[in-house]
This record gives sequence, structure tokens and C-alpha cells, in this order.
Amino acid sequence: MSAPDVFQAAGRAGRPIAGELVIDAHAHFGHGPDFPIIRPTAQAVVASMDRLGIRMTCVSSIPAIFGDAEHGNALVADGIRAFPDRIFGYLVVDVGYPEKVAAQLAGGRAAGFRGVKVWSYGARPGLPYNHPNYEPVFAYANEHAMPVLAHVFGPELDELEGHIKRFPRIRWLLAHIGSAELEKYMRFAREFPTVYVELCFSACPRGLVEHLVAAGLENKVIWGSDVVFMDQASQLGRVLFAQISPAAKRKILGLNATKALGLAPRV
Amino acid sequence: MTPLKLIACDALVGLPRKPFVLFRPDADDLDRELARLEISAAVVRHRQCVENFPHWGNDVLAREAAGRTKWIPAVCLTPDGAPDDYSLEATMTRALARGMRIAWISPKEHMFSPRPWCSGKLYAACAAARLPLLVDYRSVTLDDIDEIMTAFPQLRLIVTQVPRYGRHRSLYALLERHPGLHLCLSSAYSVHEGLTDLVEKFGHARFVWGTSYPEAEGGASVTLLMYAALSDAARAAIAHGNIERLLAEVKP
Repeated sequence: MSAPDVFQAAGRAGRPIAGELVIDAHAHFGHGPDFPIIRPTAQAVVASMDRLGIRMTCVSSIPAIFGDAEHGNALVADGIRAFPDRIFGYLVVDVGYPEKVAAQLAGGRAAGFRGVKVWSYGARPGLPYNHPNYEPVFAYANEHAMPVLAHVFGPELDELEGHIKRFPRIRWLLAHIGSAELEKYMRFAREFPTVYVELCFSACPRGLVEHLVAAGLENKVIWGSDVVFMDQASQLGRVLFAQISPAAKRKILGLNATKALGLAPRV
Repeated sequence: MTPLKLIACDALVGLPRKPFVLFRPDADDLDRELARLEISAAVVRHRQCVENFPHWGNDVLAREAAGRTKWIPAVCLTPDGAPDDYSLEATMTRALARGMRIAWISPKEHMFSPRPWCSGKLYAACAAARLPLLVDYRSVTLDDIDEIMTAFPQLRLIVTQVPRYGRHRSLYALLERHPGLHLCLSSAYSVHEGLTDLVEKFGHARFVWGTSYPEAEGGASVTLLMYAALSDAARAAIAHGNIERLLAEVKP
């Protein structure tokens, strides 16, 4: 008889996952443009983390993504200060205004941000990743070996490919695998040692996690929730109940993130 | 420890003409999913009701549900009743006599207006029988729901596939206006603090639970409910108590 799956057992009982490293690699603070988000604060997210047994959550600011990095990053900086062991900050910069970028990058790193989040277009218009304004952003991340979490919903993959090849010190987290272009996401994860694919997606496609593991990508898949846009618990359940081995769950829920985010010495 | 009893209210069983790539949602698959996730029962609609015509699907469901003790069949209704008699009254009478305890409509696929000028008799019949009526969020507008519930405040309308739009401005307004409006919350409703906020504002009696079977990983819906910051009483009501009460209150 196989050993009970501690992840599934915890999820079915609603118990925090104990004795395991769980890292949420994709999260946000702050309100969004379309609909009001309920309690989008560091305190509420940490309370959710405690209920679920999440050790660390990696956060970027929604107001910064939607056009006000100048002030929006402060939401995350405050969270890092309040919960230095629980919150990992992704810096967002105003790529539309290149004169601001260098100071925002340097200031953000000094404020404790350890990664960069980029968001091209989708719910709102924006610059594609192959726009020259991204060049200094990725060059800075490469120089400092910072991870970059990139919002992707399919077509952006082609826009990123050149950057992935030219900036080998960046570990790339390509968000929302399963949303579209599944085979291309998987090809990127296979071909590029610095690429990881990240899971958060509201549709929670059945069989996706199993498919990725069966395809040999268990070392390249990273769990993220997109909280506060989404609920950490429901996104977590996709991995807790996936029909894969506990060892694979351990990698997806935390171990892969420590490598991608450069966290090993600090977590 | 015995796991919390769960009743999923939104299963859609049956094979689509164009197969899914990663799973095959037939009757046995649904039963396996219920067992894997330790779900006690499921309200089951049949895909043949939308891939084919509604009353064909109802017959397929009746055949497939026979002997499956965890299934609670949901009958697909249209305002004109079943062919070939086209009598809503006759359809309702027959279905209730055969044990129907919950129904659903799919206005988009079946090309009728969900508004009362077209579907009013159907809502009146459901309200009179206290029959819970499921409708997918994507197949009606919120203005449709407002008109329906204004005209038929006694109707037990359950909206499935509620989306993840935070503190949904229009839906909160509808819940405020219409005490008979119920929501089925599954992983589609992946809202940070969402269940907690809904229960704080509207109590726990108007929410039931689902898994978005077959397209979504059902475990996501399990954790949505099990990890939510809710009292034990609220969690149990949403997990099973509310739907059990609604089913028990049907007047055949």
C-alpha cells in the first residue's frame, strides 16, 4: 500500500501543510483597475499563508503594474518591511517612460526587492516585451542575476525568446501555463535552462499538472497563485490533489522556486 | 477523522463531440472523481442536453444515473416543455413524479430568452414546486437575473460558474436585492477572501459548493472551501447543508 499523500490529506482536511516548504511565486498587493479586490493587503495575505502553510509569497504591486510604479511599489516595500521572512518582492518599473527606469531599478533593489515583474499587455494595453524600453530592465536584472516573473498568456513567448537567449543570468518565470500555447511554454521550459513555467490560472485546467510531470518537467514547474487577484487556496489545491508523486509535488510547491528565485540560502 | 461531507452542485457529465485532450468525462470518470476527492454526492447535468437536444440529454442522464447512488440528477428545462407535446406543465408534472428535485436551464444553447416575458411560466412552475433551478453565469446577463428575481422572488435560482471578479459590484447588488438568489461557488470563484466576505455580508444560507467538473481540477474547489476563513457551521452549510435543505423542500 502506498504511503498517504500528506499534501492531499492536508488539503482535504483544510489543515496547514506542515513540515514542507511551500512558496507562492506569483502574488500581488493592492487594488486592480477592473473590480474591487477584498483585503488586498500584506496582513491578509500572510493570514492566508498561515491557514495554508505557505512559508513565503513573492509579490508585486498591482498599481505599479497598471501604470504607477512610482508609488505602487511602496505597497510591496511596506510588506517586505513588515514581514521580511515571508514576503519576497518583485519590482515593477514604468517601462513606458524610460527616463524613470534606472532610478526605479536601483531604488527598488536598495529597498529590498529581489526580483523583477514585467507585465506587457492584456487587460490593459502596454508595450510588448520586444519593445526596446525593456532592454535596460532585463540588462539590469541580468547584471544582478535577478529572477524575472513575466506575465504571459501565449503570444508574449515569442517576444521574450530573444531576451531569454541574450540574458543568461536571469531566471525566467513564465506565468500562467495552461492559458494558451501550452506546447510552446513546454518547449521553452525544455530548451532553456533558465526558464521555469508558473501555474496560476483561474480555469484550473484538469490534468495539466499531471501532463507537465509526465512530460518530464517536474523540475521546471513552479506553483503560484496570483493572489490577491485570485485565491491562494484554490490554486494550491490544483497541486495538492494532482495525481503525481509527493516528491513531484514537493518540487513544484517549493523546491523549484528556491532555485528559480535564488532563495536557498535565505529560506 | 471523518472528512467534511461535500456535495458538488455543478457536475456536467458526458462526452463532447470534440474530445477533451487530458480526460474523458463519462459516468465512470465522474464516479472516480467523486471517490478521489471524497465527495459524497453530486448534482449531475448531462452534456447531451447541450450537445444534443435537452430532453434527449435528460433521457440519457436518467439511464446513466440508474444505480449510481451518489448522483442527484438535474433535469434540463425549456419554456416550451418536452417535445413532442410542448407542454411545460406536463413536463414538470412528469419530471416531479419521477423524482426530479433540481433542474437547470441553458438559455443560450437552447435559443430562448431567459427573461420573464419568455420564460416566466417556467420560473413560476419552479417557484411553485420550490424546485432549485441552476443557471450558468455565462448563459445569462446580470440584468436578466435581476428581472427574473424581481418577477419571481420565491424562485430558488442558483447561479453556477460564478467568476473571480473580487467583490463583484453587480453580483453583490443582486444578492442585496434578491434574497432568493443563490450562488454555487467552485474554483471558478477563485477570490481572495471571497467566501469569507460573502458570508460576512449575506450569511451562509445562500451559497452551495461545486467543483466545475469536468474541466477544472476538483481539488481546487475542495481547498477553496476547506481553507476559507469560515465558522464550522458556515463551512458545513456551504459544503452540503444548504443544498440538502433546498432539495428536501421541493414539493413534488
